[in-house]
Amino acid sequence: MLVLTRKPGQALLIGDTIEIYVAEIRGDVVRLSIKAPREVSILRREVLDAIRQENAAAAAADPALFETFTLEIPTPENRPSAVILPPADPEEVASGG
Amino acid sequence: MMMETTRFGKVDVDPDRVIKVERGLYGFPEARRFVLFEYEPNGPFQWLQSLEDPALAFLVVNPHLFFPTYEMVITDEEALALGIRDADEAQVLTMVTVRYEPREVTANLVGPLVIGVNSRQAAQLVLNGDRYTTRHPLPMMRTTSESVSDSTEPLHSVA
Repeated sequence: MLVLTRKPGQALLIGDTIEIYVAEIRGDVVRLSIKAPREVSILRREVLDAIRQENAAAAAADPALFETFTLEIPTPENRPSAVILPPADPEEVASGG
Repeated sequence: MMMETTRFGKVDVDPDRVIKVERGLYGFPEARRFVLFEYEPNGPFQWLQSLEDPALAFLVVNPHLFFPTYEMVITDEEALALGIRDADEAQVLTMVTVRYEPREVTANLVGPLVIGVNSRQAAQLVLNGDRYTTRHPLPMMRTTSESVSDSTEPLHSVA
């Protein structure tokens, strides 16, 4: 693993297409600005860990236990049809949170 | 083709109905081919059964049934990879988790499975932002059992 020290205003380049810019450091929070091609997925590690953990929990779901729940399902009239929005703005992905 | 499954025994799977998840599911990278079974006739829930692992199956549901305002973004690249040209060509499912303690049924709204209905290609996407959680409780009318809530037994693992 490569460990580098950077100051605010400095940047890192990963390959030819990815740039990680240290926008701000305040206390124990670092704000990063990332430029990357759209097809490169940029994810928060803890989100991925949570999904992995939840997949494992879901795979262990017990049908017998599930039978004991009565869920409230909204009526069909209330169901929307629109599912997918236009693609996200890459800047939003890079700087969000 | 005949497939062996733990929950459903030997089942005849129509090859055209096989859902291909090229990247696998998070935590289950080897599970790349699935089929959907109805949980009960005309009910909202389905089983997403792995064809590689007879014991691996996920309870899944269309999140819009329970969360009508649920919305997600799919990038052009992902849509292209899944053969989705229009929102109508995407089927969205979320994995459901059933817990003893706390006693609840939750949906993973952060990591939905998106299926291209024509291509049968699917991917588990990761939604950015903090609008949703991996453990969104499904609304309950009431519980019909009193005994299981006292159980401290761990979930029986089938994975």
